[in-house]
Amino acid sequence: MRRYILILICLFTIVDLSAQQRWAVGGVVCNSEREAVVGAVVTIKELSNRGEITNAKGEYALALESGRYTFVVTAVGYRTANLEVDVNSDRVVDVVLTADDIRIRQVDISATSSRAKLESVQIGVEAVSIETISMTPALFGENDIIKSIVLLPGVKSEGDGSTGFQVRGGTSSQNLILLDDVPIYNSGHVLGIFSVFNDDAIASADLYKGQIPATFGGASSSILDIQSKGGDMHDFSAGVDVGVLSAKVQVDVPIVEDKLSFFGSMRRSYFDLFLRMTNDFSGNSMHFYDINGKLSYKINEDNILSLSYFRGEDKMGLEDMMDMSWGNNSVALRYFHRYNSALNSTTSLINSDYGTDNGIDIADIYLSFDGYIKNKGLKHNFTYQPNERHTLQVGLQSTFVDLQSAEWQYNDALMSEQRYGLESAVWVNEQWRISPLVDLSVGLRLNNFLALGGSPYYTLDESGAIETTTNYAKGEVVANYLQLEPRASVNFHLTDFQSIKTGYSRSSQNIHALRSSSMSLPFDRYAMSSNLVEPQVSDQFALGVISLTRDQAYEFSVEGYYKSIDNVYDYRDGTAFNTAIELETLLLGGEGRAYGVEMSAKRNLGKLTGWVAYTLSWVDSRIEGINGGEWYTASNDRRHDLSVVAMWQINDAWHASANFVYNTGQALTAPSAKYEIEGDTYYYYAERNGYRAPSYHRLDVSFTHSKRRRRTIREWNFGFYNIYNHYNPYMIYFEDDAQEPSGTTTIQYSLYGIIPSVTYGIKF
Amino acid sequence: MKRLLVIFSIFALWGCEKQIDINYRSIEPLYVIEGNVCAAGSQIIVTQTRDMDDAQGSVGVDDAWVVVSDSLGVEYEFVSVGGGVYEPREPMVVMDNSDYELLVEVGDERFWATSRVYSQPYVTPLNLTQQTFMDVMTMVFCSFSIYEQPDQADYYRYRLTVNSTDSNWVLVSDLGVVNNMLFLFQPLIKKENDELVDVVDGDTIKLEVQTIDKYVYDYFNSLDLSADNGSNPISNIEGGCLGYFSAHTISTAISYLDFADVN
Repeated sequence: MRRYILILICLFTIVDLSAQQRWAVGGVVCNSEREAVVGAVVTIKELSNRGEITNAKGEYALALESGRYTFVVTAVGYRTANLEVDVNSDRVVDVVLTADDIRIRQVDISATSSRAKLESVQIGVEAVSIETISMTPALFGENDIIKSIVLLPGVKSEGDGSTGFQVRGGTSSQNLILLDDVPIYNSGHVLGIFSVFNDDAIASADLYKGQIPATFGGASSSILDIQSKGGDMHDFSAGVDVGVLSAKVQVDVPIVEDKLSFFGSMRRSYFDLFLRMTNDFSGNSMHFYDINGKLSYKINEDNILSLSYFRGEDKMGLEDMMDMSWGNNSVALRYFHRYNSALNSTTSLINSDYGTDNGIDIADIYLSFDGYIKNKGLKHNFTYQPNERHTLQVGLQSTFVDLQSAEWQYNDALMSEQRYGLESAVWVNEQWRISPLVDLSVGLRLNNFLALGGSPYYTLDESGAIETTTNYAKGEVVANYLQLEPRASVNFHLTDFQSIKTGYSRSSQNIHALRSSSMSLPFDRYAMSSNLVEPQVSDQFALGVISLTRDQAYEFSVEGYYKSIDNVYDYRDGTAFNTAIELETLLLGGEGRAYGVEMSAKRNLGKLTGWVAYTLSWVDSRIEGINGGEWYTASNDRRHDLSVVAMWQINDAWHASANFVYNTGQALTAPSAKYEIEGDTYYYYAERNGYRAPSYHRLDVSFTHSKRRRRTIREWNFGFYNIYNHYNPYMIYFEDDAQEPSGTTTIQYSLYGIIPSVTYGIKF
Repeated sequence: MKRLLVIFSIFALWGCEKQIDINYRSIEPLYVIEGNVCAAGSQIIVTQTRDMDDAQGSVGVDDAWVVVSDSLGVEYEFVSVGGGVYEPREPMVVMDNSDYELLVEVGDERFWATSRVYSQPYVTPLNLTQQTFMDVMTMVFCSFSIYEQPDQADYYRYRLTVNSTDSNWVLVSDLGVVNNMLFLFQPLIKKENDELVDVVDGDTIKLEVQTIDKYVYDYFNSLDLSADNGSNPISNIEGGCLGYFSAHTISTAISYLDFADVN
């Protein structure tokens, strides 16, 4: 009770507990590639291990009286650093951590991330541990960040055959995935086997599913912020992994010791190489690849420049008759500059190009359908941390978007729809330690979207038919949307091991993806906000409790949320992506709401680690013209979602892991009656999503054997995806069947049964 | 789209199909109208929806009052010939560039629709080509062109018939029209099972092209998509029934297969 009274006093009187003469000591914890280490724990040995968790930029700040202290810095995947520090004035103490050998598994994988989660003022943030990714079971022997984050509470997979994920009732098209600040679209390789993110090339990843910091925008559901890995400044290393479907190589090159480094990785599938060995299929292609490269240049301690490149592409082709390809191409130039110990800035120039290119050339017919999204932008963010209690971030961002929703060619007939837009934002975010018991983060993002001329814009009648067409001059403003997006969250530290968090977030989205199927294929179309399409705007409230045991071996958390989204768009009944080139004529707008509670229990220490995550949730939609304009269960509604993840370090050589997932079946629109047209049977649908598909569940297991030799580490991984071979629903359809008494059967189509895999890797 | 997804899934070699049970909920039956008006013969069919587990075939409604009128005000009464099929009592004159109205009254319910007959386009003779895929499958394609009348809506349904084996109706709109010409091609595939038609020299290949209005096109387009979307097709009939009313022209072309002439 006394503690709660203290919290209230702190809230209303803002007691300054650091009024004694103390020195501000802070700095950045980074790895040898000068990348920030997020969630590192900086403790002072002489002060009963009192400490601080590094923020998203790897920064920490302490207030210490004069004296000599031992700083103990720990972080997952790094060797613990011990530093003797004399404090007799304000000073900067940067810490460089040396990477532990990730091939030799860590057991204590999550204690620091649990502590970081408890300390963080943000609610609904999941720092995705790369080490955890590497320890969860792998499909086709390949660890994948997207396959791992769907095991977190509140995050669901879109289904087999997809790398799309759904966060708190949002759809996959309402997520924004950033790789070094560059948006990545359609992030799955073919059939959703892998995402385009090679885990070897990832340094860190944060999923913002609740309160999104003001420095981010452009997504109404969640943001997955991925930072690519940079090269080692000191040591050369390389690695090769050969799996059932793909192989990958990586290389770390310190070009100039402690100055200039390069990291590169490449992964390619070789299914097509098997095809080429056959007589019948030698002319066909089916492969994907991705390439990551990063050049890091440490000009000096205060100026760091990096240039990162990513290319991911999928190709499928049937001889010279059919060809499909799609992929992302992105470049980011980032400059970090520290003005003084309190002020630094990060500037990013980005360029991205996502495109699809599909063609059919049979007999005398040539068909093609293409599309692209091109972004060119600047992001500039200042971070000002005058003392350990305040962190102020101010910044701006501007991106020019060139979007071709489709270009179709049918022999000599060519049609396309292309739009231009300019999205800009300014933000301010203050993270304020009001007292040792209360942390507050308040932010405001002002987002502006301009739909620009240079292509036709329309007005429509109620049926969606075009009434008028206007050709605006290039650069002329057609529509202007200004969104004020407040973000706020508070962390009440009840004890050193318990906290209550609450938060509110508003965010908007101006690029709307219209999914054609959940499978990773190039048939999605994209619309930008315009005179007809308004920005999606979501509001989310969340309240949660997190608790650690004293030894931090266990973490328990409960978080509830309510989210509403305006201007959600989907295809009108009776239309599809290829019904008309004018995408807006195919769309209907509406609203959505989602609410639920997420619970998780996590074991952080010991030979056996892992977690249990359960989400109870509801998701509804209302779109005029669908279901009589009434609320209906959204297709991504899954009432119960359970994930159980276990990782067992059997001994120094062997490691085993398993995950079990269970979802309530997807909401399903099933027919209520049947009738005949021209002698064929068709179905009448009385209610949208009124039925449920069978539930989804599967168990994956994998075993890894690692062996260190003098200069190399080799690793064998044996995996079984869906080990009890349960066929989960991917698609359900209805068809005539004269053998059935009713004349109708319901067919469930499933993608994957059990899939065994083996991967061999060597690192030197 | 569904077929395409299945093809890709088969490519992956791991797909599996199985039958599942769903407890369907019953609804009150709805009326279904299929209305076709054309110079070659007009017919209105009135049936009702059935429960999903109803083993009985289509049940016709024979007590409806059915009238079709043209833009000159001439009314044609349609009479039941059994099985829910209605045919004009008097021979019906169907004129190009004319609107036709349908009125159906059954019980306390009343349904009405309008459809326009456009001018008949010129359809070129059929051209046959064949192509071999992956050295394992040879397909015969039939190509032709439709020369449209200027300044008129351009929506069509066409189908091929090899001897007496029908293929599916195919819908086309103006998306591929260049200089009033629409070039089309189609493989010879059976409607009943989507398999290739086995063709030999001397087979008769018939093309039938319906020139339809936009609302009829929208209906059949949405009917094709209804199973994928879980949505009902967009009917051009008012009053709350299912089905369509189409007044249209029909063009035909016939070719006799001779592999010596097939490219």
